[in-house]
Order: sequence, then C-alpha cells, then structure tokens
Amino acid sequence: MTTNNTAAPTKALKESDIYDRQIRLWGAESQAKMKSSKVLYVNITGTSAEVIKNLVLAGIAATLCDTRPVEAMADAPHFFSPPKTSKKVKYSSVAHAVKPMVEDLNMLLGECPILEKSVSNLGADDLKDYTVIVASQIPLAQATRLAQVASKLKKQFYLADCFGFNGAVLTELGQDYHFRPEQGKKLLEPQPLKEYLPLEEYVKVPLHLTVNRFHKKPPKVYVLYRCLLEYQAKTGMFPSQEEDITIMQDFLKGQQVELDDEHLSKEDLQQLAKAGVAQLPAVCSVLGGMLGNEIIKVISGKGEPANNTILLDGGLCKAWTFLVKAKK
Amino acid sequence: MNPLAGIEATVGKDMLHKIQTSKILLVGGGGIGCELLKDLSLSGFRHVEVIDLDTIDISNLNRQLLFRSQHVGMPKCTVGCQVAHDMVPELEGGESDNLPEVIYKAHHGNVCDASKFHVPFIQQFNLVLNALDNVEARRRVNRLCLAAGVPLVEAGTTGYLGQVTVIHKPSQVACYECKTQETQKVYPICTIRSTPSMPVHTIVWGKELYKLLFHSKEGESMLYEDLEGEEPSTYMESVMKLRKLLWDEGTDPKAIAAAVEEVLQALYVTEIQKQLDMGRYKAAKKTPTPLSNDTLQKGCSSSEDCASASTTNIWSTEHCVAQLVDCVCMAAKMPRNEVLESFDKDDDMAMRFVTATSNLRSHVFGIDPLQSLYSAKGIAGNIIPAIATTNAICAGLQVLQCFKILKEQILKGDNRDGLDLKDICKYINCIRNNTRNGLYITASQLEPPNPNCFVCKNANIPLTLDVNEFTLELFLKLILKKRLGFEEPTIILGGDFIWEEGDGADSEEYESNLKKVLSKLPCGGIQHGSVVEVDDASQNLTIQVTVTHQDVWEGDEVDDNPFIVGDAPPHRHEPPRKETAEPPPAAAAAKPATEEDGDDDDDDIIVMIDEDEAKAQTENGDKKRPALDVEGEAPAKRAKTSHDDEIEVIEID
Repeated sequence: MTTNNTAAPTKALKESDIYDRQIRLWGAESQAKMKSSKVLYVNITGTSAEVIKNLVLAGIAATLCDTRPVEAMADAPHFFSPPKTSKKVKYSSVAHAVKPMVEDLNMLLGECPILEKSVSNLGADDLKDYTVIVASQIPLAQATRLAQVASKLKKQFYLADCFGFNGAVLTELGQDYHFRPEQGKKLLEPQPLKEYLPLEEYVKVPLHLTVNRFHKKPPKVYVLYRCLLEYQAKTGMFPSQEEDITIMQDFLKGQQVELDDEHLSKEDLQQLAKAGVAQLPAVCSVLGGMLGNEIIKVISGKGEPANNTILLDGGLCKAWTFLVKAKK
Repeated sequence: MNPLAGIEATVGKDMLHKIQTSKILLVGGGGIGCELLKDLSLSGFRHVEVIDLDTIDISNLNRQLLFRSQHVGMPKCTVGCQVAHDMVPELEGGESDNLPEVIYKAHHGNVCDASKFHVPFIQQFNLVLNALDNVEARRRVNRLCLAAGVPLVEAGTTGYLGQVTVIHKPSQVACYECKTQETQKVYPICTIRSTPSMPVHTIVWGKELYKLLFHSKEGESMLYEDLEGEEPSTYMESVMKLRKLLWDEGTDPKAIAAAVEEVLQALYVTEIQKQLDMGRYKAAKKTPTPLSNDTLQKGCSSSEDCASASTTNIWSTEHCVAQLVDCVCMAAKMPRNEVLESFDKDDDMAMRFVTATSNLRSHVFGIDPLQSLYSAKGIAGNIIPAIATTNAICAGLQVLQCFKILKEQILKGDNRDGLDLKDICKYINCIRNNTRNGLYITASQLEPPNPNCFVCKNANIPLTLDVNEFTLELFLKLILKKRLGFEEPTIILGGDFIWEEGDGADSEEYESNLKKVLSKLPCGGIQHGSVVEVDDASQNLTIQVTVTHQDVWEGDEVDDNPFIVGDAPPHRHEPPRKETAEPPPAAAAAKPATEEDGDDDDDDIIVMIDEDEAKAQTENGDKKRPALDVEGEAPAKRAKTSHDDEIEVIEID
C-alpha cells in the first residue's frame, strides 16, 4: 500500500485512519469537537466503564475521579478491571487501577488524568474544564448538587447506573441547552429543549405523578432506581444481599406508589434488595452504548438528546426516554 | 469476594451454572464480535469458539476494543480470543473445581468452508451468535443452524442503526432467508458504459478503466473491446498503445505523458462526440459535453504536486487531468508486479486515479456532486460507517437474548426439538431518533416463517428460463450458486445424478455435462415442466425446482442469460413489518440492517439502488439480471466468499 501523503503531519494522518469509519458518519467537524472535549467520570463502575470505553475509542479524552479502594471493583468486573497478570500491583484507588487500561485503549489520547477528590468535595473549580460529567453509584444528594454546579457552568451532567437487568440515566442538560435537530442528512437551526426541568426539581416529583399517555403507571425501572437511591440515602450504601425491604416499602408508600402483582411486586423489591447494584455486562453494554450516543450528540451539537431520563429494561429488551414531570 | 456474585444474585445459581457450562459459537470477530467477546467473558462464559478469516486493520481500532495498534495485521479471532480469555473473572479457591476449563478457541478461516464448519460442528454448541458483515456468510450460518436445530442470534449494524433477531427452526420463526437479501449491488452495464447518471456509475467506470490500463489481461475490464471486432470504441486504439508503452522498458516519460493525453482525448472528447453525432443522447435528460481541449492541455502541462493534493477538497478538471498523467507516469516507473491489477481503495495511486477519472466523467455527463478523494473512497470501497456505541448496544442485546435461550434450555433439558423460542425471544431494533412514545430500543414478536421460503420451508422453486440456451455450467454458477447460495450442489433428474461436487464426489464423471444445454442433458434432459431435485449435503438442504421453458424475452428481459426465479411478479418493496408490541420505528423498520449490511463496512456489499434501475434489480421472486457488482476490497480480503471476485458483465443494450 502506498501512502504518499507526506505533507500532512504523521499524527493527523493516523487519526484520520483510525477514526475513518466514524468520521464518515458524523463528519470531520464533529470529530474535531470531540477531540477538544473532555469527560469527567465520577466513580468507575461497570456502567461507566462502558461509557468510557465507547468515548475513548471514539477519541474523547477521559479524566477519572474515583477514590474508592480497588476492592470496590471486585464484585463487578468490567472492561477496565486490571488484568490477572497485574494482580500483584497494589493500586491506591479504583481510578489508579483503571488509568493504565484506559490509556492503553487509545494511544492517541495520551495520559488519562486522575482527579484526586472525593465526590462530596467536587466543586465548580473541578468541573469547569469538562464538557460532560458522568457519575455512577453516587448518592442522589451528591448527584443533585453536581447537576446544579454543572448547570451553572453550562456543562451536561449524567447519573447512570445499571442494576440487575435494568439501567437508568438521569440527565441534567441545563437551562440554556440548545441542539440542532437532524432531518435526514440535513441539520436544522439550533433550538432549545421542548420542556426543561432541572434534575433537582424533577427528582422531587412524587413518583405516583410520573406517568404519561404511554405509561399509565410510573415506569418500573425508574421506580426501582429511585428505591435504590433511597436505600443508599438512608443507609449510606447500596443494598447487597439485603433481605429487609422496609426502607423501600416506606419510600414507595410516601410516594403513593402501590405494589401489585402485575406492574411492581413485592418480589421485585426483594430481588432489588438482594442484587442491589449488581451489574450484568450485557446490560451495561446496552446502556453504555446509549449514553455514549447521547454524549456524542451533546458534544457534536447534532441530534435531539434524550430528555430527561433514559430507562432500559433488559428483560424486555426495550429502552426509552421518559420525561419525568408532574402530571397535571 | 466472588467476582460473579453480582451476576449470580441477578440471574440465579442455575443460570450462572448454565452460563459457565455452555458452549457458544461466535461467527465474526469484528466490531460486534469484539463487543460480544467482552460481554461473554465478563459474564463468565467459559467455552467460546470464534470463526473469522479477517486480519486487523488500522481502521478497526475506533471500535474493535480488543485490538491495539500492535495487533494490526494479525488474525482477529486469535487476538480476540486471547484477550477475552484473560477477561473471564477468576474464581477463588475451589469454586471452579467442577467447572469446565476456560477455552476461547480461534478458528481462523471462512465459515463457508464446508470441510471444517458443517452441521455436526454446529451441533456441539448451545447456540450460535452471528457478528458478520456479509450476506453470503450469514446465509451459510443460517442454513447450518436451521439444519442443526441450533438457535442463532443474528445482529447487524450500520452507523447508528442496529438489529437483533433470533432464528430457530423448531420454534417456527422466520429464518434469515425468509426475506429478500440483497447480495450484490448491480448496475446494468450500459449505464456504466454509456448512460451514467450518478457519481457511483462514474466511479465504477473509473475502476474498470484502471483495470483496462493496468491489468495484465485487459480483457478483464468491462470497457475492453477487441480492436478487430465490430466498430470498437474510439479509445481502444490509444489504450492499447499506452499499455504497450507502459510495460516497455526505458520508455521516455514524455512519451507516456503524450500517450496518456491521447487516451484522455479519446475517452472524454472523441468518443463522447462520436456518440453525440450518432444521436445516442437525443432522448436523454442531459446531454454530455465533451471535455474542452483547453482543459486537457492545461492539465497535461500542469506541474502541480499531485501526490499531496487535498483529499477533502474537490479537484478542478485541470487538476483531475494532471492527476491522471501523474498516476500513469508513476505506474510506468514502478516494476510491473508492484502495480495493482485491479483497483484497491487503500492504494493511494489507484484511489487518485479513480477519483480523477470519475470526476472527469461526471463533469462530462453533468453528474452532481463531484467527489473529493475522501468521499470517492467511501463509494468506491463500499465503506459503511461503524461506531462502537451501536455495536455495544447490539452485542449487549444479543447476549440478553442468549440468556433467554439458555434459560429455556435449562427448562427443556437436552430436548433440542422441544425448545420453543417463539414467544421468548424478540426481534429488536435500535434507532437514532426515538419513536413517538420515546423508544430508542424496540422489541417485537419474532415473525413466522415465510411459507414460500425455499430454505426453511423447503418450498418448491419455480424457475423460468430457456432450456435450449442455458448450459449446465451456467445453471450451476448463476442460478444454484450465486442466486440460491448452494455450496456443493448435487443435481438429480428423474432419479439419476447428472451432477455432483464436493468432498468425495466424482466430478469427472459428470464433467462432460457441463457444456450441454439443459434440454440435452442425460435422463431426458431438463424440459418444460421438469422437476429437478438439488441437494447440498454441506448445508443439509434439498430443493425441488420446477422448470418453465421460455424462449421469447422482451424489452428489459433481453440479456444474454435471462431467467426468473420464483413466480411472483417483480416487486421491490417488502411488505411492512408487522410490529405487535410497538409502532414500527420509521427509520429502521424500513430496512433492517441485518438484511442488507453488517458491521464491518468495507467487507460488505452496500445496497444503493438507482430508482430508475430498481426494476432491474434482483429480488426474491424477481428476474435476475446478471450485471456488474461493485466491490472494492483489498485483494487479501477478497477470498472472503467464493463469489467476490466474479464480476459478471452482461450486455443488455
């Protein structure tokens, strides 16, 4: 094969070769925007590992923020779990263990920086350098706080988790968020979201009111995710091998959601308490792919984004966006 | 801590055990294949075998997550298996004592190779996952799985769109071939040679012109005409002169340049003018305009740097001329064996040549838009966009379907035929813009088989042709192998064999039949109303073909070897997919990617149908018009299917 394009710098040539199949989809302009964007990952879980994998492959640099000890990864191996051969290396945190694997995935991106801060200490100064922030397995209170900070900085924030066969993403796109809708290959003029609700507000909507014409009852996946977050808020940790579902039952009672055998059963809650945030690689793969697409939409400015939650039912193999707001 | 504890808590102890003891076959180790290997290994699958014949290319690295730049050139299946093997979570203490050893086995080869991959081979597995990029291989795996009674989880992606479906004969669900498959993109040759109307037509022409100049056998090009023949095109003489100069040693570069100018003059001026004078374009919507001599001369005397010209801007006509002179002079300087005989999109010179020739032709014929080298490469090389996210989604959905199948297998035990997946598995669509009710991923009921499917319903195939014109050789090549996907057909007429091939077959005995026309074959020959039985042991397929003789073909139907498979009138629009659970997602439901193309762009044959020519296209139940297929793969990859390098050219004008 002869490639005589010596005039172009070696690196540029390599990038256009490696990214060729995607540039043909979203264009060189989008690729340039991706190259100049950075995503901050707060906690690296099976779910966010899939997002990192997709976006790093596509050429969007990652910064890792996860001070949890490496044992936090033990029960949910993912693509960036350190290989067996490096078991003897003692990493000080999840971020440090994952870092070399991320760097190895796309050499063009260079070093993968680590932000050495705990979730509760993250502030505007930390988030300002990123286009997008993706958090996983953090308390809802922290997610709400980070969403507010991100919104003020005009950054996009996502809270994404898979649990059992299900997955959920809560989004904060910001008050002034504009996107360019696609009409076939044509790109239309920028427009705002049809309806914007800040994350801090829509998570306050009582669950029994989170219905619409297609979902006469609150979507089960969303209700279950809120139960997990509630359990975490009450106990400081996500459930695992838990048998007591009192916290969840009380929460649902307060939200006026009734259990029934068809839509949402007591067994569903028992299963949730038992498996907690256990993640199936296949479910993470689907949700991570969907969220990857969303973030590429946001960075490239092309395409209508999901507003304001994304819900995945891996058992039914269905996923949809659901606008959480109070039914009038 | 048990690394699989979370999975066990979710799927249960029995299911985890089933995962750990099942044998999975994965066909294809590319974009979707890598994602599947990751999901399978992390889920704890311990026995996975992978078939793939491809090697790793640099353009794979944006999505094929198991590969790194140091792996470029190595077999995908080998590297994929090694990496995935090491990703299977290690169990502590005695937990793995009663479990099978972790085996991720690579088969570097073509799944169409019947000597290795046959029905008993498939039957070793609990299920098969397809992660393929071409119709031929999909068809093959479909037939093997139907014959073996093994569930097949099929998937395909194009850009943002993806599909997953499950095929299983005992469950009475549609097979891959129940619906029309576009195997090749076909263009009537007169469109390419005389009446181009789209950029792709001139690009195909450019690829043929490349062959005409550089192939060791000029007759391989569809543009070739015998100088001694009846009224050869005006360009042939100058082409033959240039070919001679090219490979003569010590030819003066100036003489080459002059000869190139002559060829261009003939192609873009004289021949066009001749056709105009003959009134060829009287009825045409657009009349071609010969290239101006001024442009030709300016281009030929240009001293622009051609090798480093922009790949993303559109070249001027002068620059196109300069490019062509440069390309041919460059080839003249190279040892003959280093100049590729046919176009290859990854060869810089060939790519510049095709970009320039096709743009000049588009310019002459007033075809919009002109193409940059970058975009011409996409068309000429059949490049289909591919991204990690869509592959990840589809692979994840495939594994979720896998879980459903394995769960059912636990319930039904070893009773292979007792397995009913009809209401358990789903047809899944992944789309870019959500449906009215917000869906990005939709699941609907698997369709029942098409009662007229000759593959899974053994339906009788009506065939119309001229039994006094078709030889057995053409019948085998065009109809049985190309059109119906037979690998090793045995033909039985009135209880007697008239052809067999493949392992252990006595082909010599029947060789004398090859040149005979169908009506003159032994055992009374194939006549109007004959019923011919065709078997293929390699895919456990038997069909009956009922022959209708027709010797008068009119209008469109007139070409050298006309035939009609099926009895339905030509129709190109498929009936809309029946969506039970959800309204059909408009964008994706119209054309399921699994049926047209796969994940791995370049190896694939894209479907790009010219509206005007749609009627001439091949479809189930349609007349087949053998024509020119577009393929632009590197020679190394061409061995992928047996049909790939067979370009068929049939005169229809």
